Amino acid sequence: MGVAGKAAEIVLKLPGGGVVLGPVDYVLNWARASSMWPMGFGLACCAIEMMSTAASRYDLDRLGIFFRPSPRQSDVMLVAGTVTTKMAPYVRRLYDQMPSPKYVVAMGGCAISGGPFPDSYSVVQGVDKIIPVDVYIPGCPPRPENLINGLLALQRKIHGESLARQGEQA
Amino acid sequence: MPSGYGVVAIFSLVGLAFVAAALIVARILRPHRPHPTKAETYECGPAPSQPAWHQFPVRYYLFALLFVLFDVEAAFLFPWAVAFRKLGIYAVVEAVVFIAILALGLAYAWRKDALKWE
Amino acid sequence: MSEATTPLVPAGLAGLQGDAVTVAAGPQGAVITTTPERLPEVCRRLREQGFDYLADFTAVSHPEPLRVVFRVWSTTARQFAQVVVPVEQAQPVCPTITPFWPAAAWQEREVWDLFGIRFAGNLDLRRILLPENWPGHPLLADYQAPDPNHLLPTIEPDPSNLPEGQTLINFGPQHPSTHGVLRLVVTLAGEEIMAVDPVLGYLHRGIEKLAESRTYPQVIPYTDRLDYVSGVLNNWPYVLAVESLLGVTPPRRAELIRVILGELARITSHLVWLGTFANDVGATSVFLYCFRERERALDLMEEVTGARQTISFFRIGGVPYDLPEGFAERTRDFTRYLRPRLDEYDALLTGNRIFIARAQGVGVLKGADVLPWAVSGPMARASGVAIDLRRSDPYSVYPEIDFAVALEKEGDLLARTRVRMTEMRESARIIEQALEMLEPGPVLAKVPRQIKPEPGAAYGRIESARGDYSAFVVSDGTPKPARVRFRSPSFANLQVLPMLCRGAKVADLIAILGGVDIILGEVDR
Repeated sequence: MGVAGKAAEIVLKLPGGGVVLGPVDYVLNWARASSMWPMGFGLACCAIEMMSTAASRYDLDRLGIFFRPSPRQSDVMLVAGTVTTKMAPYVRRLYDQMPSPKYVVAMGGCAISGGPFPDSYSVVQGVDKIIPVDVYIPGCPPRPENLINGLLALQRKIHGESLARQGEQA
Repeated sequence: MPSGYGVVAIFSLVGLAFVAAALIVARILRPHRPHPTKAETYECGPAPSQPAWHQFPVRYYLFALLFVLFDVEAAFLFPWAVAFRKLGIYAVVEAVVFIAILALGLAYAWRKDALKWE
Repeated sequence: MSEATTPLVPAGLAGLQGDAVTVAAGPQGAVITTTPERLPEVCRRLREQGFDYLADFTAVSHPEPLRVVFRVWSTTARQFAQVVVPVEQAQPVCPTITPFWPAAAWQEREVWDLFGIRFAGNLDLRRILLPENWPGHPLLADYQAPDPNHLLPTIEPDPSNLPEGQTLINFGPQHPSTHGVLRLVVTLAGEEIMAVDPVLGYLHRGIEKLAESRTYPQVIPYTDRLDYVSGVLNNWPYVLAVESLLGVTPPRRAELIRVILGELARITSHLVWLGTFANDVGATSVFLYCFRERERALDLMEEVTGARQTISFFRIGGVPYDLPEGFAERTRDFTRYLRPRLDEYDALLTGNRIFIARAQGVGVLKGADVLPWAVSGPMARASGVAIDLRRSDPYSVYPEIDFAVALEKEGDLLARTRVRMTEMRESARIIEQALEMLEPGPVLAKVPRQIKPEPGAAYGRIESARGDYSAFVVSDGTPKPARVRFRSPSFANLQVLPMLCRGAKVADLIAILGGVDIILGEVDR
């Protein structure tokens, strides 16, 4: 919990504290949601639809979404593709290396629950077995519109956050 | 309107204030959730294979040094270009001498293969 | 399906027949069965007879016995020979064939990894797809799989034995320029590369094992997940192989539809390649242009098949439904629209001094190295080896279509760019010709409701966007295949990466890797 988080908890206990905290939360959430920088974590086929969504026709840049190669400069981890048993420890380490606040979007059937590989000996049945997930986007692969829908859902989730509840988030 | 240096002073102070405000506000607003892996060096996924402190080839230093030299030269030429009209022929001769000295250095470096990577 | 089939055994091979070696004529070339002891002699004779290209190398574990199966091709005589080497079940050993076909190095590592067959004489027999501490060998019939959600400790390379001044760094698995989860363990001396060791398997999903517990039609969607930018080109070798086993020929209209969609897929694949390669080299806007054109091609795909990327449109015996109304006009619009755009990108890149400085003379693959290392596709044609399976091992209706084989001889990145640009133009020509040749007719041959081929084995081989892409299907008379093997061009082409990068700089490594054009889905399967 940062300084502002603790301060917000105290402010909320005061009478009328919500009135003060509301606009602060609104501005902070607006800033975070309008500038979500994903770490490009394209593992398999969904990566190509992710690239298509970021490219000319569907253009994620107009939503403020700008892919960063390093976990240190990103706030969203967009897991696009199958997580295999060999890759899983690195997924975990890269998630841990991201600075807070961080969010995870599981894109595609494989990242949600193993996808078309439920009986494979080397596919982890969903990335939520390794890291906490905020938004699940179904599809194999999800269409670009579907991915944008999922990212907008993440924006709505961010809008619902509050400084006073900072301790509950990732 | 304060004197020329006054403007520079105000400019630097406001700039510093901006930077300080950004850092302080971020420090207040951000969550504090330390994790040992967050301090680890990033190496595309795996744990870092070896520490980054080792003997680097001297070529990197040479290139960086040459860059700094000529970058500073360019930085000096900017105010000269701005005030050029007012200064007269003396400024032109001065600048040509300055550039010639540095060009001699560049020619020496070129001859000595300092610009080649191998 | 190979047109070079001959019902008779080639004269030079008949002499091998002996007590431990049998030579038979198969529908797709001669089949030589030998023991491990006689294998080097058989290989020597095959090399002498001009079988210079290792087309596929794998193993089959059921129906019994456990055997190594590989197939070689004579590029001059356009003939195949398949070699079957039964090995013992416990502690299986087989001599290496790398002295005859160096391309077998990684293929033998894969068979060791998945089947546990040791190759005596292979200098680098490590696991390639699964981690070193993985229990057992998955493709064996009685394999007990561990829990995939249980993570094993990772094994990292050891940098302590490096000579003075050299460092070891990891490129990937998470890296924007490795085009997927490829890891390159690079030994550097400053900026210069001393050695590159690709570590694969970060996308190994066990598709070949899964195929054994699916029915024949159910395998088709899994093929899409292999070379995931090429769409229908993935379905093609598999359906060709199964059609061989069943003895079914698709109707003419289906073949033409397959060609049209296949060439559209090739165009979209090359557009992805061009965009990402230019991005790697620094020309970011070309990425956006190529994806814009690709969206138009994907619109056409979606009209016909309903899907953009993982399409599964081909069926055993043809295609499931016909082209929609007006498809031909819209496709012609697209090819007309594409040509001037390709010229524009050509001028932007191959006429650009910066691009030329980064691509000319970089990553040169000599023509003499192409066939021993089983390099295929645009990489081979850029080095002067004029093998395009649509001409050299024709299938479908390609013999009736007029197109040029793109060929360059320098073998560097610039040559590869030129080859792929030419291929896109030629694909547009092929599509236009195929549209002219369309006539009304059925699009799906009569196949039995339950696909249950007679016991046997067959190969299906096509020229995909990346090269020689073949499927090997073994049937045992049940509705599920006994073994499905995908020989992917990216896996074979990636093997020469360490050779191409020696002495290059780090920035060149990225460009060379981009020029090889790999898709990890088909490398790792």
